[in-house]
Amino acid sequence: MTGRRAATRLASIDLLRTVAIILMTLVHFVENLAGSYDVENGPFIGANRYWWMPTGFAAPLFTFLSGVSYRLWADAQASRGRDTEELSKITVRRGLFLILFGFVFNVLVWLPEDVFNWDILSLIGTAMLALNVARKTPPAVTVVACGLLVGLAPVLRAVADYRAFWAEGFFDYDFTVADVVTGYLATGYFPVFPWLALPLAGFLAAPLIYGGGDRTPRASLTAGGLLLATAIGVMLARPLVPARLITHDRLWAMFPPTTAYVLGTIGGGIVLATILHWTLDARTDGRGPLLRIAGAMSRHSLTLYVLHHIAHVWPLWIAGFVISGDPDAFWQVATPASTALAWAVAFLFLVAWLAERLDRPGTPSAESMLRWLCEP
Amino acid sequence: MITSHQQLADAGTIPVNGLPPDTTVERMPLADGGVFEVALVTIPAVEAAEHDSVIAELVGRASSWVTAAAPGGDPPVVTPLYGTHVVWSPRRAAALGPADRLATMRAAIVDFTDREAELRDIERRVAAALEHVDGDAPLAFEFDEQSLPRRRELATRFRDAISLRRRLAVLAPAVHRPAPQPPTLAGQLGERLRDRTRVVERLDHAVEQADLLERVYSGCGDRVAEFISSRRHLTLEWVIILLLAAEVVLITLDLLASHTP
Repeated sequence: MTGRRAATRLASIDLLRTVAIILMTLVHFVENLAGSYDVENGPFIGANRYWWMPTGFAAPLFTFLSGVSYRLWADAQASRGRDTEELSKITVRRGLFLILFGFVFNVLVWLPEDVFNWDILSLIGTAMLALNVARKTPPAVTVVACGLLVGLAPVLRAVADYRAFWAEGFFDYDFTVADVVTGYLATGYFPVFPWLALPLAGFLAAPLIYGGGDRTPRASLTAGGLLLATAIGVMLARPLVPARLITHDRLWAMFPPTTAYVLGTIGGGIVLATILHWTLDARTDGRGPLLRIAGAMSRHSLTLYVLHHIAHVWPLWIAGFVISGDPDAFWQVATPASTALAWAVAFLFLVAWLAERLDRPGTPSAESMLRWLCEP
Repeated sequence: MITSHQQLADAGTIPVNGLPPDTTVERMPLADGGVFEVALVTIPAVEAAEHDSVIAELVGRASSWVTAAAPGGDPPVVTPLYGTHVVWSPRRAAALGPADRLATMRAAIVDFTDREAELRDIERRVAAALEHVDGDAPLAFEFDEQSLPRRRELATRFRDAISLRRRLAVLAPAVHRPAPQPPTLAGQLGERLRDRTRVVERLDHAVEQADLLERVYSGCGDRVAEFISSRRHLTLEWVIILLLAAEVVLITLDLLASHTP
């Protein structure tokens, strides 16, 4: 089963998604366990450390690849003659499953008060619903939608008063319809504006990246290069932007995602995916040990996403509650950054071993549950 | 179409398999890129008693030479006429007759072969094009997004179908042209070869098949044009919907923000 899958999967996508998983694990372990540890001597990591910046690519890469994978999956299904209605049903079910799964995940991992923090699972679930529409509309419509999502995001943040929703680097909302809707659209962790642009961009870019056969992928490299250049242009044009639209002091930031950050990560994703596809997919069958592990981790990315949070957040809550009665007591001050980094690496080794075992028939995983519920 | 021909100065450069040494072989390019060879064999003057056996032997040798051009193919057409004999196949022919009639016979054979080669090339292309019809016919009824990458391919097939139809339209008058009156050797030879190779019936079939191709790919062209046109309208409608949705989001957030305590 694994061999057949390896033959039909693109090793470059598996590798990129594995890189996103690794970055995600590193950033969450280190920032959540050690983000404020010993800050008197200056934080070990964080936004003021430029070498920590690559970790900001994890979520964009993940969401961008969700669009890419969806396009390749939908095209493959269509070419096998699968009915459009059936594809729509599967996609909508997957989207609703991920949104619901996101709520359950938020309650269980971030505790009930954070159920509407609009984490990445809610975004990818929403993206599935949007991609189902994008599949049926001309590409130009999706391009315009991406433009509106990216372009309107700063305006919506200004209208909604983004900074009022964020306290000490965290999304802090009230249980009101206004805050919940505003969080979903503009001020949450992964709001629709502008984050939905990433899976839609992946959907649009997939045929440019993977549709050219052995030809030089000029179109995708040009598109990626143009987006990177635009990101640089946006950063240079910062002095011209009205102050009310600026919700972050930095030019390149993830919370809130600055326009340069969104354009740059989409452009970077396209260029990275193109180069990897061009250099890797034609020269490997994906059966080397490293690519085999990457394939397994990529296939179980949803399970690993849940596991990596449970592995480091639950011990924090339990220890805090048991020792001081406050689950948040050890939040970001549990260990030095070096220890958190070591835990992250140990966790990655563990899941690299575990991922292949999740492929065994009958082994429960988030993916098997998704398939059982969503596919006929 | 045969555009030029060349008389070989040295007949020995082409194996003639025992045909008389004074046999002349000419070679001409054909429409499909192949070459047509015609051997002009003079029937020697012999006693009346030996005439039939000499002719039979020459025809037999000429048939062998003609057949050698395409071993395993259809047997050559043998046409006796007014004391001459023509052994014809699509790649080779031999004209056997008195020396003073060979030039006329050669002209008639070249003229006929010219049209037959054109028809044969059209038949080959039509047959190749017909293989795609079953797969393409649904697109003459309905065209969708998934079929869009095939637009250029369908346009090429439509152009090819029109090109075949044009070639048939040019060929038909030449094929249906009546033989000259009073009858001549060249005219009668052309008529005989035309009848024996069923050129008229084949032409009719090719016209019907090319009509089918034209109908299918013309339909595909119409569906593609309709789809592209409706897609443009759809894009515009969607862009308007997106702009309206963006405005709704903006107003909603503004309202929510202004009512937050």
